[in-house]
Amino acid sequence: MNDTAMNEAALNENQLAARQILSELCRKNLNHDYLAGEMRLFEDLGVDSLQFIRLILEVETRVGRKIFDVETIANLKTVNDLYGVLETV
Amino acid sequence: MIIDCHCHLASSKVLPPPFFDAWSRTIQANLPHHLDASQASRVEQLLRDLNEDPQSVKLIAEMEAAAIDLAVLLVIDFGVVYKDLPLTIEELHLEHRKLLERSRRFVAFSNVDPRRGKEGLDLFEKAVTDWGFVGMKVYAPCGYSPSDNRMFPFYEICSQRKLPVLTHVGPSSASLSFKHTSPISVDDAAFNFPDVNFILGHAGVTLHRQAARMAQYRPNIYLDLSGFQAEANRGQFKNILKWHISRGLSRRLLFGTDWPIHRFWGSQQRWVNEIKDCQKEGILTAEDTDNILCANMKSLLGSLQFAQDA
Repeated sequence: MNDTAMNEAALNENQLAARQILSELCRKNLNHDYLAGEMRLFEDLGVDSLQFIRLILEVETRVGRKIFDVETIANLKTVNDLYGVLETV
Repeated sequence: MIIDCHCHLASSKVLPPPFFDAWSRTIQANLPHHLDASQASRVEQLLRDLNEDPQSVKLIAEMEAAAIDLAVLLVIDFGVVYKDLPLTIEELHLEHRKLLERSRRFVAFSNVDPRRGKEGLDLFEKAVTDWGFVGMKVYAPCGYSPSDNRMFPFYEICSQRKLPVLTHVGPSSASLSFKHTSPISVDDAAFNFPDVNFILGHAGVTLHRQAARMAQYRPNIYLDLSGFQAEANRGQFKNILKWHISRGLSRRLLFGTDWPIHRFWGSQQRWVNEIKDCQKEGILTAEDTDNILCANMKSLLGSLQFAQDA
């Protein structure tokens, strides 16, 4: 999934919400429009471990159910990985 | 060959729920806002889920993917501090032994709380004599110092049998004590038993400057890097590694993952690659990388017959 495919029109409601949550959490003062899919959560966006946990909790709260498990969390490295989990939710 | 010097059997029978629940409370207290009851319960559940691999199926799969040949399983005797545990200390050792018998990918270090007295010492001796345990774990957060005189008979056995000792350094679950977890807590033990090799668990990254100073001046002190995953995510790990290497500690650093504690932050493969990337970036030489991933721990395990050598 590339950035072109991940433009606003291509994102579902949950992915858009996750993008908003992430842009608010990552302390980079990034407008969510600038969150590219390839951006790495830790290295590029500076998400720390507590922010990462908040991200998981807030996305699940927004979706209204449990969507992450240990394995999916361990594989969340980029913005696109997050969108991937939310693709079929 | 790659050796992971620090793993645990991920099971609530081995790492008890109170350990994870107190960790959950710490995380909640460190978040900038109060979690509602359902989010608090979700944090607790996610942490307990880390500990759901009782047959080590996931660990073995991750080791295979990461080309980790051998992992050291560390027993922790929580029996004196946590009540109503499902296994006695003897059963806890036998639980590990079952896995040792099933897979040549593992060796194990025994741990018996010194407050168990003579009976505990006898159990430790049995574990290293009859049950194939190849080292000793010391878990100071249970409330005793690694340099407590009651530990010395255990170290006598380690000295006679040339067994390494791995002792936890740094904070742990909030349900436990941090009083004896500084690197200097190990000093009396390392001083009195110069022929026993002491591995300071996590101290390659936790309180790493104090720990490195001890390793620089005591040849029987080694630094386990497990816990580096959090520093890697913060972008700090490579600087810490450079710091150690510049102080001549290439032969004292040990690769460890502390499975299952850091599972959220990535796979075992990612952590092996993190070390290998340091070689690509010129932070480590090929020799340093081999020392950290294998040679140092292999040397500490001494006469153990490795599968690849057989």
